[in-house]
Amino acid sequence: MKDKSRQKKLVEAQTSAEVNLFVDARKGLNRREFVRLSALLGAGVMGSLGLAACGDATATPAASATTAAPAATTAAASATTAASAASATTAASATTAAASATTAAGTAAATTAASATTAAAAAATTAAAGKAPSGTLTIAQGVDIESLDPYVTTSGASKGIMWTIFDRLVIKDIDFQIQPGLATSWKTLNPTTWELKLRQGVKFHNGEPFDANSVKFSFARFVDPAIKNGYASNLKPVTSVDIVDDYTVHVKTSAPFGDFIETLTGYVEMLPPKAAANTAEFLKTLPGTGPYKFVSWNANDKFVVEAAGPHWSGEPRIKQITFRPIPDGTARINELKSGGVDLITNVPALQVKSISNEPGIALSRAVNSGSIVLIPSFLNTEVFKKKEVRQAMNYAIDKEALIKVVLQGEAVPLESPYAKGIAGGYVQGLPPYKYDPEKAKSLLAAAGYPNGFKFSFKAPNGRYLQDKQIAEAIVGQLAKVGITAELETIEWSTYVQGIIGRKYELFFLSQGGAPVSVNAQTNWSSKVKGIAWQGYTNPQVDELIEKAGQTVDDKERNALYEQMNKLVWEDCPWIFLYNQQDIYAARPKVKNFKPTTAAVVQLDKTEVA
Amino acid sequence: MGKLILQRLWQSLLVLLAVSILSFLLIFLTGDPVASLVPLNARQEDFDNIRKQYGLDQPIFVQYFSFIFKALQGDMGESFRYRSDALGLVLGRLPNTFLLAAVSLLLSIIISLPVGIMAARTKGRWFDLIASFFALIAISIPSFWLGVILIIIFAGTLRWLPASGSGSWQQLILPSITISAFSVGFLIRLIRRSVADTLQKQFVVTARSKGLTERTIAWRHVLRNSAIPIVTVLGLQFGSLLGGSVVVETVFAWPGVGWLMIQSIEARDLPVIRAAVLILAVFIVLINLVVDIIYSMLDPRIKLNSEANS
Amino acid sequence: MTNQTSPNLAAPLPAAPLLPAPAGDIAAKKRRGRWRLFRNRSTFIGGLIVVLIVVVALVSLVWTPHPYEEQDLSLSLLPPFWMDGANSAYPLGTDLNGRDLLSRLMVGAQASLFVGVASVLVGGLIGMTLGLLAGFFGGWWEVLIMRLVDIQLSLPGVLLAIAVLAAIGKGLLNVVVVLGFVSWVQYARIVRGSTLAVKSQEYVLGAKAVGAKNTRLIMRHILPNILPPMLVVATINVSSNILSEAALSYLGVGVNISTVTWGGMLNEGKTLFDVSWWNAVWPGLAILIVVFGINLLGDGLSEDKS
Repeated sequence: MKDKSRQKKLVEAQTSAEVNLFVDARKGLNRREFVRLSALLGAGVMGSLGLAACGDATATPAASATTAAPAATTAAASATTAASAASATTAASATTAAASATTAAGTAAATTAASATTAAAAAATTAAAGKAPSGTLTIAQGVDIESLDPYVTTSGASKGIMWTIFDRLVIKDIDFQIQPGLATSWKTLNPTTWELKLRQGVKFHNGEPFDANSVKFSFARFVDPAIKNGYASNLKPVTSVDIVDDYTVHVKTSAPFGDFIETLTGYVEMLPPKAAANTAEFLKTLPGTGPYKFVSWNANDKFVVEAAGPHWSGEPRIKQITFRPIPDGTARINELKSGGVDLITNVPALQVKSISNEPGIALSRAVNSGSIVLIPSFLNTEVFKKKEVRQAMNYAIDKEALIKVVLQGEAVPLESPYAKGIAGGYVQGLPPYKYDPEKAKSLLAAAGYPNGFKFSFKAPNGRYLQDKQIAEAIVGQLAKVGITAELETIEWSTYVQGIIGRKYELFFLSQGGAPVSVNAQTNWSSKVKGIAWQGYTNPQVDELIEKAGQTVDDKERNALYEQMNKLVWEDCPWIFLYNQQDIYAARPKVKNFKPTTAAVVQLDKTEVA
Repeated sequence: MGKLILQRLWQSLLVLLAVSILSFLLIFLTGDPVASLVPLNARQEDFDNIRKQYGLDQPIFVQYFSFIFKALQGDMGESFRYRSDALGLVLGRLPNTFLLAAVSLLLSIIISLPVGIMAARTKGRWFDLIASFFALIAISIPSFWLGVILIIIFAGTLRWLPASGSGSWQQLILPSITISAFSVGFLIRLIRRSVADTLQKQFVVTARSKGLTERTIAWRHVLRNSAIPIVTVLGLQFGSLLGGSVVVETVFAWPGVGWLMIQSIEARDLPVIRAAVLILAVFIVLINLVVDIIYSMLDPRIKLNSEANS
Repeated sequence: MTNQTSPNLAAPLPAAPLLPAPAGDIAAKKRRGRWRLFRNRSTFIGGLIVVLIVVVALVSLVWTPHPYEEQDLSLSLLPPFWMDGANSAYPLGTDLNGRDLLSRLMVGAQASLFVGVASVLVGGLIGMTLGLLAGFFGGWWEVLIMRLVDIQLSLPGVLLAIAVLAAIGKGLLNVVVVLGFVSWVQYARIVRGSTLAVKSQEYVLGAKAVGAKNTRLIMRHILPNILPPMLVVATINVSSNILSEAALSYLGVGVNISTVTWGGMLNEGKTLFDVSWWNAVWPGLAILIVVFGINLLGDGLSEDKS
């Protein structure tokens, strides 16, 4: 009881002090109390400053990366590693003695001995290859890496980082052509068996050899439900991976798997079976076979990789790369101007002007393979089930004006369901949907809507280049042919829930893109039904997609996809808009940078002066 | 005194429990997190699998109890997004937020104290007018707008300072100026007012009549007597700086808890949001507790009353 | 209850009227004279700004130079009137979609003022009721409400706002409700403190002794006493809620785009800074001016009162 009353007084006193703040302040305190109070306050400020300082130092091994010698960084990273054969490649990457010495102190002698020999061998090859990697590169992207698990990352920004560390069996080069990766050749033995020949003499950064076992392990992990891979079912047709010898595997599939090679280029990185057996431990060290090896990562701050020694691709050419997320476009651009970063992605189209006058800064562009489209729902509306209505809308939207004004020219109108350069996706010479309001009106009249109709239109805000303003302009253009679109913009993650929940009548999205196989199935096949499936059902399209998926021959398969695309273009389940231009800007020290259409930073021949 | 603190601690625990339930419910309201975890060209079966793996297909109370059960053992779960320990992620970002808050507070005090006192002493004259005007501007300016403009001027045009990131003292300057703009304005106004009030007090008048110099009066009498409301506000300010720099952290890509939280909300990364909310709540509850204790030590009336009661 | 209005403990004389200092008398008077002038001036200027904005908002209900939603891509990003290439029909320029900025700014005033005032009413009402309950009845009411305050203070406002807006959807009214719920704590604490202070005043105790009813006590004695401090805090909060709405719109979770707000315009304008600074500057300035005006008015009001 006494405590309660005491407590009450205490709270009252506090409140009265607050009242005083706002109403008037008539309090005083004697000298002793004043001194005590100021001391407390001072201590508080200094204390938290101190805490911040030391916390920063311990929590951020990456922080030292920019300032201290690279050797120190490596030592710090290796210290966190348990069995760190990673020092082998470190040694090769010219930081040598200091790093391996530190590691040696912390690890078993046997491991160290083994890495020492590898190091020597690797160093020899480096010398033979000629040019040693040099310089540091800092890249700023709009978002942080999504995850450290390669099988969970999906965005271009994350894949760009992941693919410096991990190799795939088959890759797409910077010109979007399929090239051998860790598999040097592949062929079908029979319609349901693929034979892959693997590259020899490749080692993971932790010393594990890359062989047939790695492939088997990686495939199994890819589809393991516990990994929570959003693309797991892409490898669903695979029934078994048979190890023929160390460098040959036979992949058996339940049905002919035509998209197999294409699928391998997308998301299936090769992981070390021993190190990746325990996911939590694996994510701490991330050993891959790529040209760069993982140094440190600090959420929202820095992701640092370092040249890992000679690599079959000719990379690495750069000694150390730091990836930084800077979400605000203005901040990103100005960071580049002030020299804090060397290369930035996603330059906002409307801010290009501010760096194009900048001496020494080079802009480069690549057409993004994702198609920006409006997707009408066949499930929630009647009106969009009419082909004439969908065609009318395609004619009613002035894509050229949208691109010229709202995107300041930084986009290319779609001439086919897929962007130019996507094998099987892009079909030349399809009749364009040129802006023609009169034709749109007559089509509407033919469909039985001479006075237009009304529907709700959802769009994201800030996800794509000027998405909000594009959507608003579209509303204006549709109004001119009598169609009333009630626009609502929604914050991205809520927006996505609405799409997956099939709640919208018409929505704005970037879809399509490569690979055609995966996207055609999830977008248009009423048999597969991706999570964003709009309810489009066309038996002919379904059949073509299924057939193409089982066709092993590249030419034949692509012909089938092209046939499907012709159908889709004419039937227009989507309102086709444009492909965005991805814009990159680099400081003069960055040489030979070439952007890709997949919005993935691929450094390939990039060097720093 | 000890009993009192114990009682407050007990109540604080209840508050934290309530916060955990409330934040759990609130986040539940924001919808299905799996939608943000899966690319839009994924298939339904993969989507369903991820829901199941995270236990998100369970009823909400089952989810809550399994969360609380683990949280009590110090396990806040694994980040959906990063696949690493959620608590570790939040704690790793905390020092940065602290650093920014402390520097901003320090900056606010350094600027506002002399300006506020000077303004009070010259009340109604030009210095006061100018100071009051700028203080008013400072509390009226949207902080994200100020941030972008500072970036354009100091990083883009003049090239004096980096625009983003953390790790060096230069990178601290722009965000801390942006954040402290409001507190500088707020504190100048408060200090000016409370000092001006004190200046009219009887004892100041008496001191003047005793022939003490203005300087002595200002430091020995006025400041001391104006301290309580100022210190109170400083405490509150620090608390709000900890949680309130969300937008500024994002603009300046400052890797603190605020940015992590907004990003986790955007990605519906439930374990990280929960961890961040709880950690911030713990700090705020602690600050409140300390403030209460300081009050009970400082305010003679409380001592008097509690003694009279006992 | 300790006496709220008791004189300063350090002061030599309790509650004595301010005696004129023997020395510097004239100087002090002069100072106060000038101060009075400034005080009135701040009420005047602040009031003028607020009235002006209210008038603009009212006018925009019936008339704007152009329909604020009318877009014309051929008129995209026209500069303000004094620059080359300007169109005198669009004195402040146009946005990316070719809409008149002046008209949009005028219409935006409606939303900003509405959000500012309405959210303070919501927050004030909740806070005042709970604060009164806690202060007047004490006991369990008090424990419960003060713990509620603690809980509310421990939840980050942004999370609260985003979660609630995600759950109930976007919209002006929803933003008002959310900002109201986020800010009730302040009022509750002040009202409770003032209630406690007033409750222990002799005349209230006297009224209670002669059997006055609770409602009468509250209406007659308590409310009039807590309104002035509430008013001051409320004025300041109108401006801070306008800023909060801008921040929410900036984060993209505020009102729907069919409602024009300055925060939303600013969000749009920041990406256009390089091609058209006016798109970023006008809404920022508009927010600055209205918040400045309201704060100035609040200052003036509170100084006048004291």
